[in-house]
This record gives sequence, structure tokens and C-alpha cells, in this order.
Amino acid sequence: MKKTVTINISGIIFHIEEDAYEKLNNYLTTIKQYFDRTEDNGKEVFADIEARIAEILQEEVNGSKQVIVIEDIDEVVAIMGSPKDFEAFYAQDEKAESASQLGTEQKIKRRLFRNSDDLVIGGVCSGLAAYLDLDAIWVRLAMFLLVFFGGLSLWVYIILWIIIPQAKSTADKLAMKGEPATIDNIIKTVKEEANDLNQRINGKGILSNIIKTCSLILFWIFKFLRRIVGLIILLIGLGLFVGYMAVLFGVSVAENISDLKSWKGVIFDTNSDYVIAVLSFILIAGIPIFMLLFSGIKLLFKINFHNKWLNISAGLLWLTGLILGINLTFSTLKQFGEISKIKEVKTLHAVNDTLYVKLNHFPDIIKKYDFENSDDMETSFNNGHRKYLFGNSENSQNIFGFTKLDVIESTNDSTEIMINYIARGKNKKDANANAKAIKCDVVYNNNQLIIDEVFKVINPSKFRMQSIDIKIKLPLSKIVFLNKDLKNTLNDIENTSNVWDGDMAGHFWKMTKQGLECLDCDTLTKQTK
Amino acid sequence: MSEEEIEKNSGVPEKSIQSQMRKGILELCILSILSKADAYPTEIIEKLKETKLVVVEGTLYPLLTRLKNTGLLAYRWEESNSGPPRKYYKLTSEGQNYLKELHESWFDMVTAVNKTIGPIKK
Repeated sequence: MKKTVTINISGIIFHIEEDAYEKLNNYLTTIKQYFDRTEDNGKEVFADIEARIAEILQEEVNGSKQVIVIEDIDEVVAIMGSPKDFEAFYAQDEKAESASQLGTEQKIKRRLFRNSDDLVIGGVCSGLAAYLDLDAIWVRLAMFLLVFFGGLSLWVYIILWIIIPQAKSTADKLAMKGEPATIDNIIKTVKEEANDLNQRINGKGILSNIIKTCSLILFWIFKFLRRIVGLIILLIGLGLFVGYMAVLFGVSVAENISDLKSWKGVIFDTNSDYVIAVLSFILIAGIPIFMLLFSGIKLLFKINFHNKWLNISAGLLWLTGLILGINLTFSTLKQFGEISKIKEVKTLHAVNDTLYVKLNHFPDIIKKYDFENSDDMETSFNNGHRKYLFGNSENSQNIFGFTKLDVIESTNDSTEIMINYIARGKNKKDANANAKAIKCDVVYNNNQLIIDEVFKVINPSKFRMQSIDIKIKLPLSKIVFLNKDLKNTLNDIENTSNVWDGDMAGHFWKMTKQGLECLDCDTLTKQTK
Repeated sequence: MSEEEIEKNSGVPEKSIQSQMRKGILELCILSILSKADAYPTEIIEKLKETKLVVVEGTLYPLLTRLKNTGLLAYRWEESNSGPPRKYYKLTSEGQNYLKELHESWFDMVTAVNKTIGPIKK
């Protein structure tokens, strides 16, 4: 069994065995070069000859023999003759005259090829050497030395390796050395090649063999790597896709049951803002995930599909999402642009010297409301969540924030309580309104102050970072008892023994000029020291 | 000069006379063949091969092209049953005149040469 090649000579198709093809190709190249050199109308002559060869080959094939074999080519060469025969015949032709006078010294233009017969890596150096008529070793040495100039020759070598063709036919090899493709030279070259082959079989050029094998292995690894990378990209893409779908699905499900509905209601000014937020999320997150999946599949299954418009429209959609998102972010941030603080001061008429402060607990407060998610809120609270909590009832969302308590020295003789309501808004008026929407009960009765653990923002105010800051203004030498349950509510209270706020709860404190002084925490001071 | 080079240089004149002769004779033969009937290269070659003037076909094509370019020959394309279309060559009137001259000088030359060199000695 032999491999065949399909060729077209003078418009006629032939099936030709590979070795026969090689021979015919070599023969035609040689003849073409010969006529190009010796004839003014070399192309026309060559075309005539090709036509004749086609005719001869056409006679060789018939119903039972359809493939051109090497013997047929031998016959063609015998009939048509080789350049040597022509030379003998036309020794005195005008053009051939000069050719024959120059004899073997005759120069034909050298061509740059990679010399595959003499190679260490890709035959670039020996090809260059043949072109420059130098010994290959000098070119190789130069290449090696140039590696130390920032690896310059590495890149040069790789580029040359890619762009310079390999000398394949005998005619190429002769052109590489600048020798005319006469039949003598061809025979000479073929003999040299045969010698070279013997040498190689005897173990020379091992390095080049090793490098060849290595590059083959690298090639396969690279090919395989492509698929591995494709698979990894695909898996990452799938993972992100699952997360993405979960978020989207979660959003739509959560809207009916949990916190999300309240977030949406409390943050965004209008419902359309919320729709835009979801849309921009779909675009910003979804398109890269889609492209990731797409390119992963392309790499993994070696699909060569490249659509400019797909990329452009994906990019544009993504950009649209980004612009929507940025726009929404800014318009939402604007809602937080101004800050307002409303101060309220009440005098606490003292019955005796000691003020008792305790908390109205969060679970007790929300009991008053009928929230669909009160269980969730309690869970968050029990888990130590002390920022904001959102409660959902039938038609409204309620924001709860945690109260902060401070004790400072009073500027006069009476005990006072100062409440700061703080909120943000798109303008001063809006911020004021949002601050006024804060509701927090502080009940004073017979030296006992009960403070709500959380404040509530009354509808329709949105979440605008509302907070509440309660300060007890205590005159000098008056005493305050901070109940244990104030542990998380106390905020940054100055005291003489530098005790942590949380640790101040459960003790009696006396106001002195230096700040609050603990009356019953000997053990505590010892510990902190 | 090396021996090889001497051999090569001394070989040139001999070769050139032969090839010059052959070339002239071949031109005469081609024109004669075409004067009888139009023909395409393969036919011409077949006739020449009978006389052993041409051994390889490749030599004929440059010659035909050159004769055509000097205006002695003209050609037309003709479809072939087996293979690519063929170039049928024919003699131009110029070619006919040239052939006539060549004919005359050939016979003059042959007579003269035969007289000079005499019969081949064995």
C-alpha cells in the first residue's frame, strides 16, 4: 500500500504515488530553473513541456491502472531528457553559451533556506551560513553569544525558524548553496545526502534528535494543554454560572419570603431603580460568564468559530450594563449626599443621687409588630448582629437600628438626656425628614431610665444610614448604675480606669472631674492592671 | 591550470561544432516536416526520432518557441482526445522562404563537404 497525491498538470488531474510525486516535482523544478536561466521565453517552453508530460502520463493511465508510479516518471524523464541532455545539445546557444563559459563557477542567486541536513535545532544557522557562505559554526557561535544580549537571538531564532522555509527538494538545497541545479549537482547532492544519512544512522546528530523529540513532546503537551485549559475555563464558567443563577433565582424567590424584599424597598427610591439594578447585574455578571463558557467550549472541542459581531455586541451589552450600574450607583449614592442631626434634650428630675439605666430589649420591642420575618430577625440578633435589621409586614418594610449610649459630664446641676437623631438624604430637607422618622422610646420614671435597644425608622422613609446617639449628662458627684443588659449599647464612655465599654455594664459609676469613677469594681481594676 | 580544467576547455570547441551543426540541421528538419503538413510537437518528434536526430523531447520545445518568436512558425490550439489541448505549428510564408534558402545551401554544403572529406575510411 502506498500513499497517493493528487496533482494537476496542464489542467489534467492525476493520482500519483508519493515517491513518484517527489521525483516528478524535483524533475520539474530542475527543468524550470534551467529554462528560466537559458531561455527568454522559459515560461512558455516550460508550459509546453508540462503539457507534453501530461499527455505522456495520460497514456500511462487507463481503466485498470489509475495511479502514476515511479516507473512512469522514469519514463517521462527518459523521453523528455534532463538539463544535462539539453546542455549538451545547446552548448552554443547564445544564452547557454555564457552559461557554459562560466561553467561550474556560474552563480545563481542564493536563496535562504533552513538546512534540514545539518541542524542542531531547526537548521536556521546552517541555512544562514550557506546563504552567507560561511562555516555554520561561526553563525552558531554568534547566535549563542547573542543570547546574552537580553536573549535577543532566542527571539530572532524563533522568528527565523518560522519564516524561513525548509530546503525540501534537491533543487532547493542547491539554491541554498548557490549552485545551479544541473543534473551533476543533483547527483552530487543526493550522494552527499546518502552519506549524511549513514552518518546520522551511526549516531551523529543525536542532539538534534533529542531536541526534535522534545519539541514533539512539547507540541503534544501544548495541544493537550489547550484542552485542559479549555476544560478548566469551562468548569470555572459553569461554577460561576451556577452561582449567578442561584443569585438571580434567589432574588426572585427571596422577594416573596425574606429580607431581600425589604432591602429593595428600603434602599431604592423607586421600583424602577430596582429593576435597573437587577438588569445591570444580569449584564455585568452574565456576559463574562457566558463568554467564559463559550471560549472554554471552543478550546475544549477545538471549535474554530470566531464571530466579530458576537464579541462586539457582547462587549456593548456589558458596557450598557456597566453604565446602568454606575448610573444607578451614583443616583443612589446621591440619596445619601446630605447629613442631618436633630438634637433633643430632656431634663430628668432626680429623686435621689443614683440614676438607674436599663434597656428595653429588642425582642420585646418587635413583639409589638406583626412581622413576617420576626423569627429571622431574632436569629440575626442572637447571632450578634448589631447593625440594622429589616422587618417585613403586609405592606411595609421597617428598619431597625441599634441605639448607642454615652455618659458625659453635665454642664449644669441637673441630670439631662440628650438624643441625637442622625440621618442622610439627597438634600438637607430630605435628610431632616429622614432623621425625624427615627422613633426611639426613652422612658424615665423615679430615677429609672429605660432606653429602647433599637430605634425604628417610620415609613415611608428609606434606609439612609439613620442612627441614634443618646447621651446622659450627669452632674458632678452624681452616680449612675449601668444595668448589665447595656453591654452592647454603651459606646465610648470615658472613665478613670479605662475600662472597656462592655465591662462597664453592671456597675455603679460616679461622675468626677476626671470622668466616671467605678464604685464597686475593685476586682475589675485589678484585672485591667 | 589543473588537468581537469584543461580537459574541459579543450572539450568546448568540439562540442560547439557538433551542437551548432545539430541545431542547424534540426531547424531544417523541423521546417521541412512542417512544410508537408501542420503538426504538433509530439508528431514532429516522432518523425525526428526515426532519424535519430533528437534523443530527448525536451530539446525540441525551446527550439520551436524560438522559431515561432522569429516569425518562421505560427501555431493554433487544437483540442485533444487524450490530454491537454495541443499546439499545432505551421510554416509562415516567411518560414517557407527561409526553408527554401536553407534547402539550397544544405545541398550545396553537403556536396562540398562530401567532396572535401571523401568517403569514410575503414
